[in-house]
Amino acid sequence: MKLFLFSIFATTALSSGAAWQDYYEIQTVPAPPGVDVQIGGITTLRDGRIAACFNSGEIEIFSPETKTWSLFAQGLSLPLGISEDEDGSLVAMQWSELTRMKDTDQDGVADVYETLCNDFGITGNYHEFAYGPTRDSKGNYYISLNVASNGAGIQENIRGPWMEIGLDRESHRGKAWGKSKGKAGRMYSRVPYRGCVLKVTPQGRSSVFAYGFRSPNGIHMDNKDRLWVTDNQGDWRGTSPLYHVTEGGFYGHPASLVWKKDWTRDPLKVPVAELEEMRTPAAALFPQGELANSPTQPVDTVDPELFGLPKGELLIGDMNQKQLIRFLPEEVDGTWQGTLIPFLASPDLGIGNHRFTFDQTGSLWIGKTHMTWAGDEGIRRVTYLKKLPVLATGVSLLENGFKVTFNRALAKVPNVEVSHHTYKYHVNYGSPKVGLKAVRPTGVVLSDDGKVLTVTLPGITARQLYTISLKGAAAANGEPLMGDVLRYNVVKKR
Amino acid sequence: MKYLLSLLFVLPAMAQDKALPSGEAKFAMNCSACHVLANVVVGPSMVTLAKTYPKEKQGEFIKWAKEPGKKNPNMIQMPSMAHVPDEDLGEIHDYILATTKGIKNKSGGALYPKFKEPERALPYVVRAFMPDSSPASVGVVLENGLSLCWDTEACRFRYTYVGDRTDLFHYRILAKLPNQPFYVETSERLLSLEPKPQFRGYRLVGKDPEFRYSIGSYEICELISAGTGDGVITRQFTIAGLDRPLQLDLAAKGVAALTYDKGTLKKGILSLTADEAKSFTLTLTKK
Repeated sequence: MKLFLFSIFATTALSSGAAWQDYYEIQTVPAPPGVDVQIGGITTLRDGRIAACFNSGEIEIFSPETKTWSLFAQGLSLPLGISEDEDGSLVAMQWSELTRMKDTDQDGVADVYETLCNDFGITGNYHEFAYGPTRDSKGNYYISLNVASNGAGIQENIRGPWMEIGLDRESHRGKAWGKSKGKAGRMYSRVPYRGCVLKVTPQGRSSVFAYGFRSPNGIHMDNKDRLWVTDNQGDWRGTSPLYHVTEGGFYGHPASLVWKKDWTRDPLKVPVAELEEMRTPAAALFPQGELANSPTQPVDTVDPELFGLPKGELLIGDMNQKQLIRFLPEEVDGTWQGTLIPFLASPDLGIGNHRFTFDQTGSLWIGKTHMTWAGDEGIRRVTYLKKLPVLATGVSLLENGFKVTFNRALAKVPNVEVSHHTYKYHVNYGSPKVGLKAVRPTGVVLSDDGKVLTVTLPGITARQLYTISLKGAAAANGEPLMGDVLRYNVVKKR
Repeated sequence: MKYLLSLLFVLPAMAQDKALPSGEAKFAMNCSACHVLANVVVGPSMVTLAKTYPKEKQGEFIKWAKEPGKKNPNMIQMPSMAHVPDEDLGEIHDYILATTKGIKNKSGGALYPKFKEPERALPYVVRAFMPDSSPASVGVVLENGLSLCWDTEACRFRYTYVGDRTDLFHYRILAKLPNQPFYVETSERLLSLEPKPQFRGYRLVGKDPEFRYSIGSYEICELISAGTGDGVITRQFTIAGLDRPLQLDLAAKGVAALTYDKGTLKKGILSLTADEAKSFTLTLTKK
């Protein structure tokens, strides 16, 4: 009797979300005094120290040796990203510009604030956030610019030429705005390059790299020089996407089309079918409320010895959900698509997981923010306890199904449920799931070594998000599969 | 044995959980980041929601959730829940009503204390939206009780005012100046050079900012510091590459004396030879 009850208890504990704590420890890192502990950027420096930028405008550097912070720079306007140059200069994206900060007199504090790029407009609208930089292997920087929100108009003084296409400038001001806000577009781009990704050379020459973004609060060049950008659910975003971004591409939010060369039309008047033709589909989709509401920065995974996850994945945060998300990319016929899997779903993690860096020991540092929306404050450090969780480490699309590989053997065939759906592409804010359809697998086969699960379906439909649930998947000792819902976005079929 | 017994009771209790409104999980997924039981965090409490939308107003609740407006000027506008089916929104509403029965709102508002500006060492240089300047401006708070606005778009000093307030950066509103500027430069352009200036950034000399910009091939620096004596600001200009005379249009409003160490002033225009313009100083004294 005793044994029986105990085994029920153990199973309950293992199948609950609390089990992530068996594999990872989450600690709070004390923040420096006198700063707004909302973090817009965090990065590991070449010497192993951690640099973080705070919403009150400081860049502080943490020494893991002395466990103390020291001020490097201050007075920045909402720095939302940070990167280190080869010579130790730090480059941060602030509201008004991309800035390179140098400590020329070697006293540990920046004395030069060099403007690297201010070639974009500002209207004073509260939603014109600027994100990045991330760098490619040639040293170029990439930044992403939020469009303005019709939650407010613009200020009297703006930077950059006003784009004449669309509602006139005066209608965006003062009392006139109350009457005209419904005509501006839910999110609007009326000064240069709002809603675009810009490329900036190390010397500070900038060019528009890609169009069609809304709130691209996650921009990341991976270690293979692939650029990934997350965006937030809203108008023209049925649910939050992850894009693989290439030069000249259009990623669905039409407001920034006005910055394309020779563009003359009001983006709000372009037929949806035409936009649909132009847009590049998302590599991955985060079902709103389930996986993420406002996804944040992607970061490359590190050596599996250090953090447990395979190399070659992205780890992505979210503002609203108490979990992170893994992305397993896969190239099909020249298109990058792939699978999102929940990771570290835990009340201890909390929400507001905004910026990430792996330190040199493989711990993941998380900077949190809320900006008065849903979120949190402070810095967390996630340390791998060197006990390997059961993970899906590969998801491949087949002609008629999926092949899922695991890092540890499953004891038996799990209960596999598959469905697919899509979202509307429209001007409205968000979208319900469209065409949600359960698909009964025609075959589910676990390989002899328990590490490869082949799910055969009657067929695969392109441009559908497949949800593959593997409930009850566990290793022989009862340890459950951590992250048992796989969401593969089929852009292209095999 | 007591421990075992309590475990036995856990099992029926877990089974009962399923009898709770199924909206619980949906609430957790879609709403809990912003709405908690009895306190205001990002949005109103569940208690307030239940009061606003009693049982008979479920239809209105669903409609609002799908197409929210802005009810409370002090709160952010809720994003649409259009991705949640009506039926689920109804279940969420049922859950809110069931959970808040007999519960009252608690005082105590926001989840996070408002950031308190620390006492900062002066001079302090901070990017900000500032009134009557471009949204890419810099506030310089000097150690002598004066502050000024320098515009990175026009690449020029705009105005100065009394006060040492350092919390100038807000992304929703213009900086709140503690006082009206007592000196405002009003000319169309400060320097008689073409084309439009390009801001290059600033460096700290000691702790004083030296703004740098270029106009064509000319490289201009303006080092700003508190001068000796009360109410004095000095602006040291250095210009590299200048091969021609320079005029400064010093038209201004306000009550300050402007002195200069080189050149000749006539009708508000300071004229400098190319040689003089390599390095000169303007001194502003509050009257």
